Amino acid sequence: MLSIEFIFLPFLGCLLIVLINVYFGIHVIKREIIFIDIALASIAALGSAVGMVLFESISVDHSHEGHGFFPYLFSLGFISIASFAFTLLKHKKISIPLEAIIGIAYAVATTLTVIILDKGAGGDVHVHDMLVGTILWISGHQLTRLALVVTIVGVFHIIYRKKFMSLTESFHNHDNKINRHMLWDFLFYFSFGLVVVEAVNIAGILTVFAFLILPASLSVILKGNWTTKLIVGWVAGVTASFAGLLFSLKLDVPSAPVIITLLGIILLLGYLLYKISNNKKPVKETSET
Amino acid sequence: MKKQIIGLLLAIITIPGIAVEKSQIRIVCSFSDYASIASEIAKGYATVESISQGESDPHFIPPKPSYAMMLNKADIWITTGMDLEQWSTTLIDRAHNSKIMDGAVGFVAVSDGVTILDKPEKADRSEGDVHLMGNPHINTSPLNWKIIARNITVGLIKVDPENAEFYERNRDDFIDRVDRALFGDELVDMFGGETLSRLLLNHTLFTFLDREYQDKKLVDLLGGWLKEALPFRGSRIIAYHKNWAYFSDIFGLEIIDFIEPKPGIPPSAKHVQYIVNLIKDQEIKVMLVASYFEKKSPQMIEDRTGIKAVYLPLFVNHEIGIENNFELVDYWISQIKQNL
Amino acid sequence: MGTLLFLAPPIVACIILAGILSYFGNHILSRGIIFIDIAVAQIAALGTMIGILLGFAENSANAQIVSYAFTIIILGIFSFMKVKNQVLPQEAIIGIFYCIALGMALLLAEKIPGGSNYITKTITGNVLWVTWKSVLYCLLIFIPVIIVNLVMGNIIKKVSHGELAGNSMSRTRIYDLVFYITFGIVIVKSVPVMGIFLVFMLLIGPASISRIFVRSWTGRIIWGWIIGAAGSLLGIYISYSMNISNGPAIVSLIGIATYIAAFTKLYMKRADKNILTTN
Repeated sequence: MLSIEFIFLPFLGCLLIVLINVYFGIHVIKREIIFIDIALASIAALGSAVGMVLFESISVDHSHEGHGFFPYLFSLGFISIASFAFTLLKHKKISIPLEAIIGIAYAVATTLTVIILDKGAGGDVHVHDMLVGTILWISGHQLTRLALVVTIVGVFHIIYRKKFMSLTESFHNHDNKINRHMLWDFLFYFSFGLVVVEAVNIAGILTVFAFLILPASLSVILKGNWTTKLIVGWVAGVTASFAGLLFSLKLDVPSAPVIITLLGIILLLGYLLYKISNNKKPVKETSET
Repeated sequence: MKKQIIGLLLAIITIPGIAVEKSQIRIVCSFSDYASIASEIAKGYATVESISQGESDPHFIPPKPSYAMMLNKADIWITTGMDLEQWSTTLIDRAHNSKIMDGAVGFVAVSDGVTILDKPEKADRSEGDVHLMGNPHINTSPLNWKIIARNITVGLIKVDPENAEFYERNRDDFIDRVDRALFGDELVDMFGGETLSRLLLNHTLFTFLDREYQDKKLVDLLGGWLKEALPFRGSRIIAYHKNWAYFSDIFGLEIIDFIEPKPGIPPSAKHVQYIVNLIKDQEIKVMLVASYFEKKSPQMIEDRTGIKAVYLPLFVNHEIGIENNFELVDYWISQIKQNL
Repeated sequence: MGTLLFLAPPIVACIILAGILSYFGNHILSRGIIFIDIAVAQIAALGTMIGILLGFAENSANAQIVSYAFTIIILGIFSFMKVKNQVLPQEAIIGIFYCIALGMALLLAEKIPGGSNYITKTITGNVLWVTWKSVLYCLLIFIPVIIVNLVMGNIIKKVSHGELAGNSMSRTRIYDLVFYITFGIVIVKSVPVMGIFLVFMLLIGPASISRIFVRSWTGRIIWGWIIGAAGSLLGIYISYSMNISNGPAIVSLIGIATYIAAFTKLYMKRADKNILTTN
């Protein structure tokens, strides 16, 4: 069965991304920093470009698989700096939403990358690759890297989940920040950045963003506690991935748009079902979780 | 009973089909231009497909599952062989087809032997294009088609040595047609395509043709595309991107500058001012734009400077009625003539 | 002198846009829907693609009408999704719309020649090529936008700060709709000219900087305008003298300035009692 075997590895890749992104997605929605993953991806790309230009490891043979060593190091470095900035700038003195800071970082990172590639290299050919990704061509090597990163970050978050959850729940309170919290904020952004770098390399920015926001949105709408939210998101994500990959094969189209459409449909259906089942009960003015 | 007879009939009808299919070579190309040339050489002995179609940006290929499957079953993979098809490395890896990997029998790099233009002086990228090995848009010159045809034939013969003669015959036939389309019958009959091509490549053709012959000059015997292109030979134009180097080299167009020499990097204020003044000072009338670019920027440039943007498809494109490379060049020349 | 004349249309275009975007930017910041303009740009591009698929020529008036119509419909849906006790933040809804629009655009990109140019990251533009005619058209379209916002300005301001218009959710939604439509028109008109990132930065950057330091609403808009205009001019100058791509120069400049402003404010020693008033 060529079809099933063909989507086996991509499906595993999607699985891993869904696993970690639904978790982060719920955090991200509560904190209202929706576009953080797109920003982190751009910042990582900027770091990569700087690393490439400084160490001239631009070879004619572009392997889409690995990161060069220095570019990877630099992308991590830039993500750390960004995480640091995001942590510091969530402060009551700064009267603009953190999302604006993140948005500006995104724009600057993208345009600085253009300038650096212009002066240091020859042009921006890989833009599209990063957008759509090549999950259908995922290799065993890439999958292993992804699994490694997801496991490390995942375990870290499982151990310290209470810390992160309480931080997120109190994100919009303007109480005095204790310095300890800042460390955990930083670790939140940085650990997410690690995941984003791997995931985007394989699946592209769009799919990663979709896996971050769409299933988690459904979870948030349906309310419930953290565990419920996670399970809802995971089920939605896994279903859309599997069906999406299959349809992508059948219709012979890139996988990203199909998966997104399915996620959108699941979200819509879930929302409608929720509304209908709620209308059957007496109407209560409920406040959100 | 009826069903069984129909079933039997169907089986009988399809068997010859299966038999023919089995012996056909599967060729997959990166671009439709190469596919067109490959069809001319292999004719009915091969099925030829291409991944990038007509108006697509050659740098961007949406990752459709069928591409990997196409490549998985391919006997021959035809690609430029420089660094234009960077999307192909992952595709080839994933196709799991050892026959078509670099160095294998089924891998054909058509740029082998082509005289490459725009080779960068330095080894790093700071000077020019993303393309370190020089300008990879070799399909725009008919002279290069001949070399492409030769490379494809070599590949075909490696995979199917029995029919070597057939392929060689078709190749020579194709080359002859190219020569005649380029120079016209008379000159080809007199001097032979190879000599004329060499002169054209060395930019000495027209000095050569300036000689007297009987009671006219040789150049009066010129036919084909070169004759068609004579009115605009020596004209100065602008190009949006460096797609047209090989074409302009042969047909005598002087491309003075580029709007966006580096793909994806919009020009700076300095460059824009320079271009605007250049267009005015040298009264440049035409800007060549490959049709895969968005039209908004060229239109703004038209508004600003009065120049005319001529949109040309970069490759053979069945959807707009350009069936092969000959028709493509016909179209290019007629469009340029119209607007100059 | 010749250079100045040559740069005049782009400079004027930037100044006009800095002004109008500063106004909208302040509202956007109050509403916390930062990425709405990128979403709108992508939705408009999708609309154009639909127009092309329906058979209209690429830059024809018809395709543009389809684009505007499609954008307005989506914006309408968005404004009517606002409810009193919102579980899902509006920014998340914008993210969802953006995501799906981008996905659709990718699917359709294949069927259209040059389709890959309608995908957000590649919506480049270069304000340097703008002509006086273009600037005039922009102004013509912006004038009704400005008038509408002047007339309804106060109510819209209240809504942006989270209050209800006339204590009714449905009335609030109508004012929302007006706001988004006028906003959408500005974005759809300016993105093809200036490119997506320049519009984004002029929308968010100067407004952010002024918001960090200035307390009054009108003051923020005016200072935002000044900063945006100055940033554009300086960016063009840098692009010219250092031969750097123009749009990226302006965007990076204003963006970095915003960060500097934010960090400066963070480490300012002055104890300010009224920090929590406006947001």
